[in-house]
Amino acid sequence: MSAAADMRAMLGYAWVQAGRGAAGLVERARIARPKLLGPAIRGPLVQLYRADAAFATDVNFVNYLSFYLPDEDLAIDFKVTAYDRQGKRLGSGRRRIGRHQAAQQPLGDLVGARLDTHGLFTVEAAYDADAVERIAFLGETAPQFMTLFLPTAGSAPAPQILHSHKLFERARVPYSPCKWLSPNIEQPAAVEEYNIFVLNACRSALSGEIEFRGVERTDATWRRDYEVPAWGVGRLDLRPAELGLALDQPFRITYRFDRRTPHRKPILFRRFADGSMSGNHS
Amino acid sequence: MKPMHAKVTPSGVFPKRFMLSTLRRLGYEVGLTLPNLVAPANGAGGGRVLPLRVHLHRGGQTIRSLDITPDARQSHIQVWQRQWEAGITGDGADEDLITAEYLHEPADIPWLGPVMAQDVEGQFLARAGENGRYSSVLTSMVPYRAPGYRFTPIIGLTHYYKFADDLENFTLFMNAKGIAAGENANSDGGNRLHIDYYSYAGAPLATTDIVVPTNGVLLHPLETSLAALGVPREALAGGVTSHCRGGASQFSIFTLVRNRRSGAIGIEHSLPPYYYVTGVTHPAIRGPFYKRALSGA
Repeated sequence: MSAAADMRAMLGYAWVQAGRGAAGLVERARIARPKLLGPAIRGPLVQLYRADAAFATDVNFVNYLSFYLPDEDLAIDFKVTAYDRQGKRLGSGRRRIGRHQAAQQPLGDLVGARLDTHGLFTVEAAYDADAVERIAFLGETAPQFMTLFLPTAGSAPAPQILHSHKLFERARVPYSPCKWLSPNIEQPAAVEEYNIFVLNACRSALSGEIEFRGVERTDATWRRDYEVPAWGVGRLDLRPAELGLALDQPFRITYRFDRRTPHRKPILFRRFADGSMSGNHS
Repeated sequence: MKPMHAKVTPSGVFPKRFMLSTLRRLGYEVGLTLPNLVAPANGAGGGRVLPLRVHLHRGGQTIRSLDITPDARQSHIQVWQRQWEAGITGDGADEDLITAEYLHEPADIPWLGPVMAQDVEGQFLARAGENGRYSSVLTSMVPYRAPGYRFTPIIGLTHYYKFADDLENFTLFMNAKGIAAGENANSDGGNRLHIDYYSYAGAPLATTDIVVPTNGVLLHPLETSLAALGVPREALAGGVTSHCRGGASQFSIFTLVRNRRSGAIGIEHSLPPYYYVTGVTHPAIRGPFYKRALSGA
């Protein structure tokens, strides 16, 4: 990296750190004065959806407040927003979940829009005004949800379940290169095809590189650049048998990002010879 | 109130283990992946990779501890069920609990202490034979407590089952902790969990208590368990939430959904209260939170 790039990266890191610090201060102020400033609720949280030939997507919510505070009658209003793969907002909807209730619903129905083949969606929560003071002692809360990737009816896979604790960033993120060596180690000899989804949960375009490398013999290495628009999702399909690599070993995946987009654990799906598929964050 | 994110300087090496379970009943061989931890090149024992000890717990007893020294040139180590079961006959009546820990020497403490104080993630793998389909879930190493440790009861909330004719759902409970010589680890009620089941509409469906043996596993089939509790199958279609409370041990909870026709599975770890109430580790929040969350359990 050149001295100019070093300086640019250093400034970028400082900007990201300063932004986090400011967000932390706002959160602390909300925790201290929820009635005045509104409750400290983490979010929006973000996750991938698929609406393609392999999977549809359901979103699953639970009223966590009422299970953690059984003596309270509290409702949660969830707001869900979906984007297409280019980062264009498609639609938004709300769902109120009452005491001890939960819900599982197709994402397209929730947001009232036709989904793209894949993209981001976000989840936010709001509490009734009269509840804010009663739950203030909890400090910051987070509207955790689960995403169910439901296979096409009659097909071999089982539903794949993913949680999310990553944030959606409404602002731009400056150049601040980083990498993620995933603890997810792959067995490519068993896999016909990988579908790797890189989520860009910020307002700046993202670019970087995916590296697939043998754990035992590191000369078996494959790399591919990617680019993802702001708030978009990049998809990379990879057929191990076509890479010309020694597949009789586990492989590790390293992701490089040109900026610290909040979600840096791409979602990885595998398709096997029997038609089944599995997926998880990597 | 004290600062919410006070820095803690670790002293010593916080004992942690990676936990997983066999899934024989579902037709899978399981395995684990962990990063290789290597002593910094300029320190004592520089460049030495830490050995990994994999414990096989069956029926509450540790029947094997397999030490493996990884190749320091490799970033990760992967260990499969066939390795820790080699030479052992029989499968045991239930699924086995597997725990794995890094072995270290006193000279490793200065660099290993801060590493283990952070989140060390591993991979719980389940494969249908060598080169067969596999599923993977990433999860962190968890504290492994010495005998006599006073545990906080757990609160588990699993609401992401999927009901259909060709699917079946399981909740996988694991329980690990150190046991003193001569201790009856199953006598104090610390392994008992109380579960309230609710419909998605918020109506109570059933209540039960389960026991997850110390250093053991319970692969709990949801549909048959609810049928045994008198919940009709048609009541499941609208969705079920499982609210699990109690116990005094190190539990780990996963949800599995299995396609009955293909045998393929989906698996995800549960989310402890920290995910929903991010300040719950702070003493000023923790006490009142658990007091109210556990009321009536």
